Amino acid sequence: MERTFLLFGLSLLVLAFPVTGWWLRATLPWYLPFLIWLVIILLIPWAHRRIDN
Amino acid sequence: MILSAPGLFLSSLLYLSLLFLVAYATEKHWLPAWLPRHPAIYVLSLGVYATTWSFYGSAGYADSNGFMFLTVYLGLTLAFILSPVLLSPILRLVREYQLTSLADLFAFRFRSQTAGVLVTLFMLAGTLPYISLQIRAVTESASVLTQQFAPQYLSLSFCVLIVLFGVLFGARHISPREKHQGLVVAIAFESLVKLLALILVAVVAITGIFGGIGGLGEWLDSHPEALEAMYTPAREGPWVSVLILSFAAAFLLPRQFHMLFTENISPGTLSRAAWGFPLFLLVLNLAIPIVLWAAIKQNLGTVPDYHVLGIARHTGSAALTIFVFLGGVSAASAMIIVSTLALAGMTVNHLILPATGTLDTSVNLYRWLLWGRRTIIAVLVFAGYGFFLAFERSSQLVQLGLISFVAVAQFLPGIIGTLFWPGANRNGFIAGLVGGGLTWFIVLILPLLAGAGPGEGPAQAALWEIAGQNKWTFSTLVSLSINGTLFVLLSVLTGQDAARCAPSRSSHRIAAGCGSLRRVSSPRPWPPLWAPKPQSTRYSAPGTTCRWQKKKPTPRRWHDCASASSATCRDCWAHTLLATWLKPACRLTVITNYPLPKGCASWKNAWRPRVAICEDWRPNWTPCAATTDRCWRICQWAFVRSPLPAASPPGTAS
Repeated sequence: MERTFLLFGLSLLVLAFPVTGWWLRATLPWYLPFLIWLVIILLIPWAHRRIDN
Repeated sequence: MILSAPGLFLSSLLYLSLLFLVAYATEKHWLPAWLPRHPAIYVLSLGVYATTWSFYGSAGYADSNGFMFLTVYLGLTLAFILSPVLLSPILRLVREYQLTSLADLFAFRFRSQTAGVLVTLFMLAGTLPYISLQIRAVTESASVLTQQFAPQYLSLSFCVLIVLFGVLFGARHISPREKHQGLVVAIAFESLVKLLALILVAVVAITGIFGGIGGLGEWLDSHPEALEAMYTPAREGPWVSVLILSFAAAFLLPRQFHMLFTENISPGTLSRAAWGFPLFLLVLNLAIPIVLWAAIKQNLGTVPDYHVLGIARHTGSAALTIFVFLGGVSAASAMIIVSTLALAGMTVNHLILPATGTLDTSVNLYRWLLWGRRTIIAVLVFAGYGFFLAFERSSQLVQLGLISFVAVAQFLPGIIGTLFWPGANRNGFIAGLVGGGLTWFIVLILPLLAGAGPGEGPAQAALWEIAGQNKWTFSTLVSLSINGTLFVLLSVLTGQDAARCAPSRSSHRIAAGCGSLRRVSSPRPWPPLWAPKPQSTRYSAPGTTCRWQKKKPTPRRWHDCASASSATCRDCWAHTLLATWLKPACRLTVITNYPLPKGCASWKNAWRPRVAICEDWRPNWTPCAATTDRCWRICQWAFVRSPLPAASPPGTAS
């Protein structure tokens, strides 16, 4: 449960708060938003693992 | 390359026939039995989220708002991260209490017919623009390919085919609780077509237009303005509000609710979908910036909303172009079919049946319900077509979609209250929904009716400009704030009235308990939580013939017992699908297995299912009520009747 909320909080921080200004910059690779999204997706099974068990 | 309208019509017809075949093969078990239960099919069926807005409109949205187009999917990812806390409890509630829609869920939770009616009306109002968007996208995509205005017969015949499919495979069973495996596999197939079409276009764009990944990088290096155009609007746009809207849309849109919960065959698949579905959307969207930049590089001259089609046409390959066009048809048809199916169930249960009154005994109610749903499907599709004709050229694809998103976001306070706040009550819910809904109507719909864009009427524009917000941020925040405030205020202020009613309080705890963190952290097998303590005394009404027989096989059709003269049912609201409502004229005797509240006169009217379709057999059910009124015939079959010796009717409520 803690992992779920931890991942949700981190994702919210990265996706919804001023941190977005850091990675929404043209100097970074164009695929960076997708890469961040992918990392979040890959962390979901980790966050839910204990609950599923 | 220009394609002919009859050719496009024929290809659409063939494609939809293939879809019929896939659904039919599944229903007839020509395909392996494990297929509909496979998590991949479940994940792909959730791809109904990606409509023509995603397939065509994303490129247009990216053109005007850069990476903002991703928020529509990032918000959904956030909702799926919370799947164990948010989605699993709803799935538990839906499965345990055999609910089929969000309207059922709210009506069940708040014990209020008005709540069900309001939710249904609001869903209808919010979804019609979205349905019209799909019809419009199919028509406009045909116009792009034929280089002329697409003939009316194209959109009209598309609607007819969709109605046929919805009727044959979506409303196939009498009970809406039956799973439509054919439909699920067909929708999954459509998602696969969408995905393949977009991937193909992206691959063609990279290899054919940029000359490889390296070429794309070089082009971006030499055109930094193209990359800047993706980032700047995203930094300045309504990022957070669209994130909130898509968070809500992920599970509250009628089609999402239907595929996520109602058509869920195996609850375990939800945990796979929690990462599988966002991954599907990521792959789907990876193509969008590539397509957009390829269109800019080639200066295609197509409307940005149809760059995907423009790239395919640019290759000169008729096969690829038609395949991409069919991808758009897939996106549109899947959305319309599932949405109308979900809305038809709600409309029949919460609007039509309560309005029709008691049916004649000669009427086969089963058939009546089935054809009622089928008729509503047709009416909804053609209402969407009417909306399309009325607002044919008014807004971007994405704008119509966002209107629907703001509408369904109004259910967010209610669903949070349902899951986590036992103190929430129907007064708060109804007041919040009315307040938020009116705000949505005034800010977004009124300007649309007046011929302007959503939120762009003079008064509305002045409002959001004074507030210093984007129109979407303004409409989202204001409507949700009004909704949430009224919900909390009214719930708190009128909470004492609800608290007087013991069963009602108990039911509130039930729903709230489903989402409690304690249950999530230590999950238990179904059924969850609170089972009310069985009473030692069983009740029955005078002269009734009600007895529970545990080993009775469950009949699958309620007309199996239609010949019975008396009806029995226990606590139907809790264990059955709430199909419709008891008319005041119907005499109803409900016997619960918990003590009836003394001095609480209102509870028996608080939740009055007139017809309950008992689909499930639970060994812990106890004998129930009896009434000679035929209103209860529908749940008769779950019970067997035989004379009870010296039954006395204490504590019955009629």
